[in-house]
Amino acid sequence: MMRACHRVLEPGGRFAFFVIGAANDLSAAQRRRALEVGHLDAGPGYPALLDRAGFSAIDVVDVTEAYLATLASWYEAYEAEAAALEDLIGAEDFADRQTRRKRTLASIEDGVVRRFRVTARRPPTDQTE
Amino acid sequence: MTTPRMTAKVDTEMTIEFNDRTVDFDERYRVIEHDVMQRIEGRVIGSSYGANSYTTKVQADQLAEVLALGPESLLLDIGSGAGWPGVYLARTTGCRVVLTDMTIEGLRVGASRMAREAIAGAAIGASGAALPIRDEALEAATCSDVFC
Repeated sequence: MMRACHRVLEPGGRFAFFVIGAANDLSAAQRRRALEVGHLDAGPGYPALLDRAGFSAIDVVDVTEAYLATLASWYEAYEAEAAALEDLIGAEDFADRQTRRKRTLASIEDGVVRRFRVTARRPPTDQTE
Repeated sequence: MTTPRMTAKVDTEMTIEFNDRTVDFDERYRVIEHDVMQRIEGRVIGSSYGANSYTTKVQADQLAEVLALGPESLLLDIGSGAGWPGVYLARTTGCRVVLTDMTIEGLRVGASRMAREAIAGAAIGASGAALPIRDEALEAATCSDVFC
């Protein structure tokens, strides 16, 4: 996908994205835990991928604190509307979403999962092509 | 470590199969315009785009800055769902936007909103890895939590 974005951006074009991933330097058990809540790759791994795809001016900002607050807010808002949501999406789906949120909240609080904002540019004149 | 099994079929239905569950994203998008969903989304991230996102309105506004979006820009939003934050960024900066996703129902909602708000651009059912867009066509690209 990085190479596809590089291809469709004009020289000098900008790419900015958010990514959730397993933190660096995790034990095997912690990586399994990150995988269980659906996340595989670490944010700090993206600079290398972007560099290989031909991007420059790569910057990574850790936004995990805001992620934790937003996810907690999703959980609490769902709890506050539980009856209406169970009618709308079904009790099983509601419970599944909330269970996954609780597991992910715990993984963030334990430092296993993090969220990053990554920015990069396609160089005005490509060095790689 | 086991590798999660993920499959996607793009036609009228969109499901992704993880190790232990299958998520029907089109089914999820069918309820996003319901009052309770809109109320929750507004409370949590400050938007009303049928998003189930962790990108808040404040963070979307920061994207507009780092992408230097303006009326001359053409923005690509990969995995846009129903248009958050791509359509919002188009509305607030005046840029044009191309939405891409594999969830047809989400794109339908996003395209309808673009038409209602007279936002220039397109909505394309496509994978981010195989974008049906010509080389060097865009000034900016974004995605939220598509890589995970």
